[in-house]
Amino acid sequence: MEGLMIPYTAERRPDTGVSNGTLGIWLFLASEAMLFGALFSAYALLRTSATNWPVSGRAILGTGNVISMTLALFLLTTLVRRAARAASKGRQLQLLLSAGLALCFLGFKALEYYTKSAQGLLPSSSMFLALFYTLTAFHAAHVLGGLVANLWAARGVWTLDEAVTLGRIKALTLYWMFVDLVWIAILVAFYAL
Amino acid sequence: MRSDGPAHIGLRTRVLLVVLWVALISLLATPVMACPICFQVEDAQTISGVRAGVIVLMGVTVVVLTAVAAFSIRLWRNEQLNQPDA
Repeated sequence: MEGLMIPYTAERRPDTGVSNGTLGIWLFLASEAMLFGALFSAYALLRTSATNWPVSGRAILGTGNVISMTLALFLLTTLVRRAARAASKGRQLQLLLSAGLALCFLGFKALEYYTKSAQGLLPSSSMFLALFYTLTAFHAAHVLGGLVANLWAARGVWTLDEAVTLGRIKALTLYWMFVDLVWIAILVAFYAL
Repeated sequence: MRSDGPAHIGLRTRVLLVVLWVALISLLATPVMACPICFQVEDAQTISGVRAGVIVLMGVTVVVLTAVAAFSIRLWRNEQLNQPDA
């Protein structure tokens, strides 16, 4: 028995002008934007009305880990973008490498949480830290989701059509760019402002 | 056949019950003040905090809804272009 073929998974639909996969990822990102919008709205509310807020977030959080995490995240996105243009073998390697970088990011994040909590800097310590842990934990959960998606796309490189794989990589590129954008907003909110 | 349900309570009895109910509620009620964030707040920092939160949330919502509207217009245009001539 032949499997059910879902139309327009990779090719463009004439009415929307995009494939179903692309439309799906845009809708997903719109809902994610609302989620992070609500979190940043809470940040703006609590920060503006807080009676006690640190003068410099960098003094509390440090900058060592954050530079490594930023580099890992940006390199990861570049690799996923480049995977669209690579041959099958290189494509799978780049997807796996980017999944490895996502794992590095999560490792750095876990290390940061561990060192902060060892210093007694817990979410219950201050409003600043409560918001920091909430926003970065949500972001890290998205990095973990992207890691799983990268492995899933890498697994399908050899077994699926070229067009389907390309569609997946394009969706992943959009997703990682969104995750980068949220990370930049977090950097600005907690390290720059 | 006549059943003993609430539908057969007379109008006068119903009005009396409602009046009694309202009187009871009025007697038992205690004053309720509006949330201080929205009503006569004296802390200016809280007001500016709520204002900042609303502005951020409105900003994100406007961006997302603008994108949805732009996509809807694109769909409508595509539909117009692909319509066969009548």
